[in-house]
This record gives sequence, C-alpha cells and structure tokens, in this order.
Amino acid sequence: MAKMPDKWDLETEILVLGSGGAGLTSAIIAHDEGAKVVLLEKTDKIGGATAVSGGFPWIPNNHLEPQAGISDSREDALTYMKFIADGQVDDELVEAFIDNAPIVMQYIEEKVGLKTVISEMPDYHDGKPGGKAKGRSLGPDSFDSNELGEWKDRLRQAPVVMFPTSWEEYEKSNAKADPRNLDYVQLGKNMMAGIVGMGMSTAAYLLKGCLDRGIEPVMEARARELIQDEDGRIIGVRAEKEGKNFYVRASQGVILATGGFEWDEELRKKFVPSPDFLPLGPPSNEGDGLKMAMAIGAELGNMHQIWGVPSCQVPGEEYDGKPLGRMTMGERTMPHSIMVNRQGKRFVDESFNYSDVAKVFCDINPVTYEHINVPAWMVFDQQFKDKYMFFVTPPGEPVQDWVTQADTPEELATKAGFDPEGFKATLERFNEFARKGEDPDFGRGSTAYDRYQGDPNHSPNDALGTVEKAPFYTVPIMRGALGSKGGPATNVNGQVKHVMGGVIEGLYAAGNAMASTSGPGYGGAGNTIAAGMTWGYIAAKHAAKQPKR
Amino acid sequence: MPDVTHIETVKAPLEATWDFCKDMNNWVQYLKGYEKHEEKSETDSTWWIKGDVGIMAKTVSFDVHIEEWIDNDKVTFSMKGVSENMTGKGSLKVDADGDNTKLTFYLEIKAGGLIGPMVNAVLGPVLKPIATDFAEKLIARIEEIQASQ
Repeated sequence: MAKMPDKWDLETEILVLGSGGAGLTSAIIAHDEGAKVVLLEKTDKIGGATAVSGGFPWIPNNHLEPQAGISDSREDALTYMKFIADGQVDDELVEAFIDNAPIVMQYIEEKVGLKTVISEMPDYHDGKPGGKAKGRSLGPDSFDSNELGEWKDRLRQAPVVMFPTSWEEYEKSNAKADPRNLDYVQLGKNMMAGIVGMGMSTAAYLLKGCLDRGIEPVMEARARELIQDEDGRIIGVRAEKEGKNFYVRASQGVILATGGFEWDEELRKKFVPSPDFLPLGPPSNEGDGLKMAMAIGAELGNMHQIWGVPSCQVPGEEYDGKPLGRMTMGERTMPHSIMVNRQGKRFVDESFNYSDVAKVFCDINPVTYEHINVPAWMVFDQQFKDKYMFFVTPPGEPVQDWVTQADTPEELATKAGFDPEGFKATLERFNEFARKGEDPDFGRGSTAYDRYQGDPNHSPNDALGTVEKAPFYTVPIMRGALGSKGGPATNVNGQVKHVMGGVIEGLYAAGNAMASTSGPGYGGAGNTIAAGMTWGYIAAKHAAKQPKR
Repeated sequence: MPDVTHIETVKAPLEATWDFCKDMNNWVQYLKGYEKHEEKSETDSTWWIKGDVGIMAKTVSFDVHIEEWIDNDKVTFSMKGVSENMTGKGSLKVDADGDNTKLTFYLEIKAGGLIGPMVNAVLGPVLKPIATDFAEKLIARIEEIQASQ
C-alpha cells in the first residue's frame, strides 16, 4: 500500500484514471453531478481502446429504436443479456447495465452532442431469445477534430478502423462488400481537413465534452498505487509523471478506467492462456488498474475472458512501437473465403461474430492436449480477390508478399503447412455447400448476422461462395483480443468489491478495467463501448453523492 | 501528390558537397527510418525504410533507380514500392553560393490504387519533417568532413 504523501500535487473530489470511453464518460458525469474532477491519462494520447474501435455504443432498448419503428424492451434486453452472460454474471449487474445504458446514451447525446444512427448491424446472437436483427448498435457521426483546438493532436489515431466519415455514410455505401463504392478522394480530403470517424469520433465527442466542462486531462501521468486512509478508504493515488511521484487526492472517489491487461504478458499468460495471442488494443493497456486493485485486496471476476477476434499480423506493421494486429472482418466473412486448421479442415462458421469464433482457437484434443485449431489459416481464391478488400489491398491489386499463393489447393496447403489431402476434401465439400447456399457443417450464412457481414449481391447465400478459382491465397490467422474483460468485481454502483466481502470504499471500476458484466459473451457491435460508458456513468453518479473526506 | 522541397546552405564548397552527394551510399542512411540498402548495380538499389506515418509504422522496401547523374549539379532517382503500391522520386541538387553550397533536396512519394488518396493524406504531413531531418543530418556530415580536412 502506498504511503500517505507529505504533500498532494493535486486535490480534487473525483479522480478518473484513463481516457477511453469509460474514463471520459465518468469525468463528464462526475462534473455534471457537481463534483470537481481530475482525469489522469498514462499516455500522450486521449481515447484508449475506444479511439481505435468502430466507435459503436451497443444500447439495448435505446431511445432511437421507437423512432425507427423497432420493437425492443427491457424484458427482451434482459433475456438476451442473460443468455450472453451465460449464468456467469449476477442478475443485478446485468439489470444495472440494461437499465442505465439507454439513459447514459440519451444523456451523452443531449449534453455532449454525440450523434449516432441506428446501424443495420444485427446483434451477435440475433436468433436467440431477446436478440434483435437491428436497432441496438448505434453508429457514430463524424467529428471535426478542429473543434478540439490544441487538443486535436492529442486524439489517439486509429491504425485500422479509421474511415474519416460517418457510420451512416460508410454503411450506406456497402463498402464492406464493394470497397470501390467509397470516394477515397473525398475521404483523403476529409483526413486532411481533420474530420475523424468511427472510434476516433466517439472519443473526440467525449473529449470535447470534458474540455467544454473545463476538464483538461493530465497527460502522461501513470497511476501506480492507490492510497488508503486509516479506515481503508481510497483517498488518492500515487502516479508517476515526468519520472517523479505525482500524488493526487480524491475526496469522493477514484474511478479505474485504465483499460484491459491484454498487453501485459505476465497477466495475460496467467489469466488468458492461449497458444497464439495477438492484442489489438493500445499497447498501453497493461492492466494498471487491475494491479492496483489486486494490491489492496479487490475481488476479481471474469478473468479468463476476452473480447476476442480472429486476427492477422502483417509482418513489419507496428503501432506505438508494438506489433500491430489486424482484426479480420470481410476477409473472413465474405464469400470465397474459409478458415482451416493444420488438417486442412474447417472448424467453425467463419462468418459468425468474431468474439465467439475466436473461442475455437482454444479447443484442445483431450487425449493429446494438442490445440486442434492452432495454427490456423484463412484461405481465399481469386474470386474473392477480384471482388473484396483484403486488409489494405483493394480488389484487382496484387496481394502483398506476406500472402502465400499457389495455383492449386494442394500446392497452397503444402507451401503454408497444412494437410493437402484434407484441404482438398474440405474444398470439395465446402464448394458443394456454397453452390447450394447452405452449410450443414457449421451453419455459415444461416443467421442475420452472417448475412449482414456477407455480400448482399452474392447468391444463393450472402456468406457462402466457392473457393475454386486459381490462384489460391492463404495467411496465418490467430486468436486476437480487442481487449481483456476481466478485472475487479463491482457491485451495482460500480464500487469495487473486497475479496473478503463488502466494498473498498472510494474505489470504482468501469470499462475493460472491470469484470465485464457481459461475462463470456458479446452482445453486439459496441458492447464494449456501451459497457464502458454505462459503468463510467454509474460509478460517477454514485461517487459524486459520497461525503467528502 | 505529397512532395517536399528543402533548401539549405552547406558551409562547404560545391566540389566537396558534390563529392559527398554523388554517391548514394554516403547519404541513404540519413533518411529517417533507414534500415538497410542493397546495391544491385551502379544505378539500381533496394532501400528498406521504416516509415512512421502517425497512425502506424511499417518497414517498406523500395526499388530505387538513379535516373540522372550530372557532375557537380544533381542526382535524381525514382522509387517503386516492392510490395506496396507506392512510387516516388527525389533529387539532390547542388549550386555554388559563394564559398558555400546551396543544397536542394526534393522528395515525392505517392500511393497508388484505389485507396491511394487516403494514404497520400497520411503521407503528406510526414514528408516535411523527413526532408528537414535528412537535410540536417546530411549537411552536418558534409560539414564535419570539411572541418576535418
């Protein structure tokens, strides 16, 4: 436990650690509830994992659904979320999320100006009770980052999901199925003009909300230890700034919004063992909040779960000095592409939601303890190459040299290292399914989600296309993580629980720094951001009502 | 198309400046992100440059061809991405400026293909600091050699 300092460098009422969606929302709400707020950000950039994401809040039973004629309800939302949580999350936490998410979304829209539209995106288990084929994933508008003034250059740059346009424009263009539909000249002009979209937009709106309230984040200040008073209540932190201790006192509460721990190798190996693992969040997500909470006896929860996604590593690409992971979407979900294991066999509905698909990389053979689906490969053919985007390579342009290619399936398998005979048999079987538009093996293309992620111009099934036209291409694919989702367990107020019972007074957690209230599941596009904003809201509301100490 | 021209005075006579600039092996390592290069002939080489465009960093290889080489005047070269859809060109030109030399460095890099306009928007802002950094290092080296003689 950190010693009480002789002198505090800053004194406030509510201290927020981290500047992703959870931290920025916490700061805004705490301010609006009347508290003095200080926000510390470890890096030199604002936005955390939110800025590098699609920027969607996933809000069941939201205020935009009735206007769009979409039927949703608290009951549907609860039924669905309880399915997603798979019995691993207390019902009262699920209810707190479902009850507060629509409130915070409407509040942020009205008081901060974050504009969203209902996306066509189905829930990730749209066919399950309470699931919806549309309505809950809210796509952000674009944002003119010049409105941030001198903070413009502090906004974290997204390396992958960075289209400088509104989600509505992007979705209308159907660029995921035909990238030629986008006006890249205009997008280039937007970039030059400072327009940001997707996660950068959501983060920028929230940052603007903070700046408008006079909350200027303290940059490059990394919180290291929580400071408790004689009663065990958290009253501040010891941070490090410019190589020196930097003490901040918080009389009403400290909110941990420091993101996940996916980049801390030791924590990751301990809690999320995996033969292959590619973190996709900002490399600063090193579990700082988790470690500080563990040090004072926090109860932990959901530690072995991640927001997973099958991902690739393009050799040589880096982000913030670390290998850049690229999540697969169209590469995996469009027709004419499949995934195979070392036996050359398919092992999953490739088009299904990325987080659940990523779980099959952990399957083992119980006799040999061999990971059945590691290594794995994504395979596509020239039909795919002629029509769809492969990461940054548009249709019609040659693939980069890290992609293995061959004129026959057997040659491709041999070059890459999977079984040629098994692969040949897999293709024969899959191509037969694709021609019929049905996948009896894994049900690819049978859900609204699968078809949404496919090509609406492809028939007989948006998600299924033969892999038969040479040349054939393949790249290794592995289990990636948009973020970890385990951390300090909280109650319905966002207060961190003590492992011996009760709560740790004055300590809150939100977003990927907390034990996720989605448990092992992923409700829909933006579940991560919605959880961050909602639990940031809940924590800040509660903390602001606490007596000052 | 993203390009940049950087002009600076070298405190060395034209002949000494040219003597250094005429051989690409003398200066290619001063390009920001330089990792290595391989000479394939008198006029052709491959450069590996780790480019940091703010949103990400990546090592990109270019096939470089010396287009023109005029004694005591300039060397111009063209660049073509080996696995990236990028082209470029550049030049180093020297002009006498009294006892000193005016050095003009020009660099142009353009991403092609469908998404080229977006990539070019990212490339544009990073070219100027690259050119400035390169010229400063190059000049410092030339002046260091001059001072030692």
